[in-house]
Amino acid sequence: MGLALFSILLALVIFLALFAAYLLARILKIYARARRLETMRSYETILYAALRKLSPHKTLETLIPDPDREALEEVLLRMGDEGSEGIKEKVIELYGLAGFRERRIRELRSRRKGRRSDAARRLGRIGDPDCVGELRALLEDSREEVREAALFALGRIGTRQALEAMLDGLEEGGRWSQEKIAEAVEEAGDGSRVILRELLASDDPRRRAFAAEVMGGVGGEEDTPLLEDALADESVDVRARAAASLGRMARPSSVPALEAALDDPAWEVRAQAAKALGVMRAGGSAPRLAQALRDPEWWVRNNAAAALREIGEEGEAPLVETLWDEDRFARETAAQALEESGAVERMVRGLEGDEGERASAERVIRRLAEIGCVGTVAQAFSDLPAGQLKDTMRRLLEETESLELRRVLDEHARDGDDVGEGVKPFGSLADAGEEEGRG
Amino acid sequence: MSPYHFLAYLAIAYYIALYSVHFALLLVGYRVALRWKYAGYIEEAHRLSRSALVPPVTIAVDTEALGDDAIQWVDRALSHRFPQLEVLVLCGDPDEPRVDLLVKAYYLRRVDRVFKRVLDSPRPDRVYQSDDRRLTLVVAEGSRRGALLNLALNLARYPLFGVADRGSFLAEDALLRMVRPFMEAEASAPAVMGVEIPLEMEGDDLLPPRRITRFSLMESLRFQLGYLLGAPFLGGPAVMHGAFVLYRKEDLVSAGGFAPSPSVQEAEMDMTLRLHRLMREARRRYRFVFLPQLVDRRDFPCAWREHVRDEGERWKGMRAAFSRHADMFLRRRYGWLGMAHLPAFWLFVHVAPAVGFASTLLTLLFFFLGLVGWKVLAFFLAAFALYPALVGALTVVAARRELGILGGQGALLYGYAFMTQLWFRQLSSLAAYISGFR
Repeated sequence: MGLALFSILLALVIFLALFAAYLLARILKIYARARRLETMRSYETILYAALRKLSPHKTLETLIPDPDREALEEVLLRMGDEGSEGIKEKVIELYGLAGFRERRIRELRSRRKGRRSDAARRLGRIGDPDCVGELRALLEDSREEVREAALFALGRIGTRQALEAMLDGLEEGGRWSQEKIAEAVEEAGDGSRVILRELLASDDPRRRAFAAEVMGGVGGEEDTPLLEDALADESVDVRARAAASLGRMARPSSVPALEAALDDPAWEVRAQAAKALGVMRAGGSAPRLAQALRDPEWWVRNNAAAALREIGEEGEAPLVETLWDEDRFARETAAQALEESGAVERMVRGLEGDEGERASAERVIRRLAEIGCVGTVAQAFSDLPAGQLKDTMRRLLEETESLELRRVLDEHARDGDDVGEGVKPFGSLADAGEEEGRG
Repeated sequence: MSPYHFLAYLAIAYYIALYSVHFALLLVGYRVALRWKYAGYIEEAHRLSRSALVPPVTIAVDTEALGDDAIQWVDRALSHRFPQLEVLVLCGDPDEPRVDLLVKAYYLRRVDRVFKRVLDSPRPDRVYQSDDRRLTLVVAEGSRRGALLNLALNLARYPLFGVADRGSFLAEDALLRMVRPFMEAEASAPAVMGVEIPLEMEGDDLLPPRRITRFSLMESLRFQLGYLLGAPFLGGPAVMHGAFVLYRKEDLVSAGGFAPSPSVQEAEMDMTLRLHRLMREARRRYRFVFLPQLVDRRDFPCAWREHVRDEGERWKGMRAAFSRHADMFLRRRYGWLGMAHLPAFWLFVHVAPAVGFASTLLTLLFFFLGLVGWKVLAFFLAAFALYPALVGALTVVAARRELGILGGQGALLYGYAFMTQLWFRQLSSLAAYISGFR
């Protein structure tokens, strides 16, 4: 019994001692962190003021002769992140003078992947162009996180050599590498266009495809013909990305080339060309896009319909005419585009308009009912307030043989809401079904 | 050695093996968390928001999973910072009041949507769409959740497909962080998810106000950080389900779509195994991804009954998924998954509550009948309760270090983690096991 009590008390004492040690460690940690922050703040004040007037060597020698190394490096990295004009080069020089550069380059060859990756990120944050060679070697590292850190660092350095090193890694990387390179290219601005042009003329289709895609974001007027030429490239990927980029650049001069791309044998190119014409709101291409509604590939039809919808009024007429097309897919895609664009609701309101407008609206609504695309029509009818327009619409819909419309009419008649004068409630749904069956 | 001793030692060995696996997975998870940290996920997320190369995402959600405020859910999803996304709200009940609510709130227009039917799915009765086509509401009467997900896959316009469930709200920049594994080339990512915490947590530092929610959070963190995080690096996980999971549409279609299950959770569990099968049979290099970062907040159980119901559903889903893919058990073709994960899951998760109940009962009985001594009982209790409690406390250490959450309630937090494993998990899993069989 005594032994058991002693054991319990001993366990309690050990537990309390451990808990006290834990609390003490936490207090010390918080204290150290506060001291570090204080030091960093003072270094930051000194460096921002001194580097504008003094050389990095003088600053280090006279103002921070015996620095807290970790705090100083962190401050320099933060200054590198900000990349303040005028002192960026001095920060890089100071980083080297303080010995951080050599240490981190040494760590790039460390056995520990965490250390390699951390060193690469630090060198990237400082943006020292002299480290490109070492970082380029890291792109062949066996660990993914280290390669990514190298990509990040090269992207942050952003010089031509850095971009070329990143492009060398393009063959190995996936979408993520492309993203990092594209980001670096975009940040490099006008200077990067020359590299993109060179890439577009490269023998490697992956490089050409990459250039075709990124050019859409940074390319200028003079790059448009190059992309138009790329629409005839032997690689489908290059052609498709060039079409998408031309859409992003939205130069009217590219419209004929994109219209021609609608006849491309690869559906990916046709789909991107249709989409691009929609982004450009190329009204003159509406008839050509209407033809694309009969394309055998769903994505092309979908993008062509979306493009016609984007184009607006000029795109509406070909969509309406396609409702009478022999191809069922073309008809239904056109109907969907008309519904999505709000054209069907406009036509319902058009039933109140002049004779021409009314006739046109009646024709389209009847046709939509015939082909079974009645979703928007049914909703528009249900939403209409009681009145002449609703009665006109009801008469029109009663002439159609759509089961769904009959159901809607039936529900309204049953609810007894707003049945206008002289308008008889519609027959029951069962009757309608029998009629259908007989028909 | 008497047969009583033999049985008691067997039970002790079972528990030591079980919690050693938990402990080992927790350590692997910790290493994995460091790996993601090196990959710089957080600091690069904001850059992706401006990129044209980020693959667009379709988010599918059932009306019942929208939570109490459907409008707020949709608003937050649509305003999430991401270059291109669409939201598909699915409804199997035409009388669901939230349908009208959404139609009116977003001025949705009924359209006759033409879509490519790549999977077997129910026919939509009604499709509503917003003017900018970012929000689509689909009504398909009487369809089960899994079948509705297949319909959503048919309607989805984008290459990535997210499934939201249980009223989850995405954390800031969650999608930007989740798409990155799909863009990386090292290994194909069939599915990506991340850490989820309760909606009720006012701050990341504080525990949720209700006691059951706290216990439930502790158990959930153990599963997330102690299993889902590390298992992908060991050929797993056997099940992957959550309030928000992101998939590649192409993989889902190749895997034959979701099973037409009554719950999204069950469909997701089944999909995990379908994706493993697809990748293994196509000999593709792949790895499921669980990000050690806060991805969403969801409804956690507030009462014992709710917790048991949730656990029971999980049990049912797991049983259904495992029985559908029984041919993967102990097959070398499916690598670590078939040879280790699935058998271990069956032994240590599927039958664990029954084994736990029987072994506790028998050991106590043997002790009170004087068939085994107090040393055996002490060993058993240490293996059965103390060891898992220690693992639970380590999970909290991991959560604080890896996720930077729950930093504000030191001792109380460890107390909850300890107690969760000491009794809550044992009792609730037994109750759920029984309810799962009902």
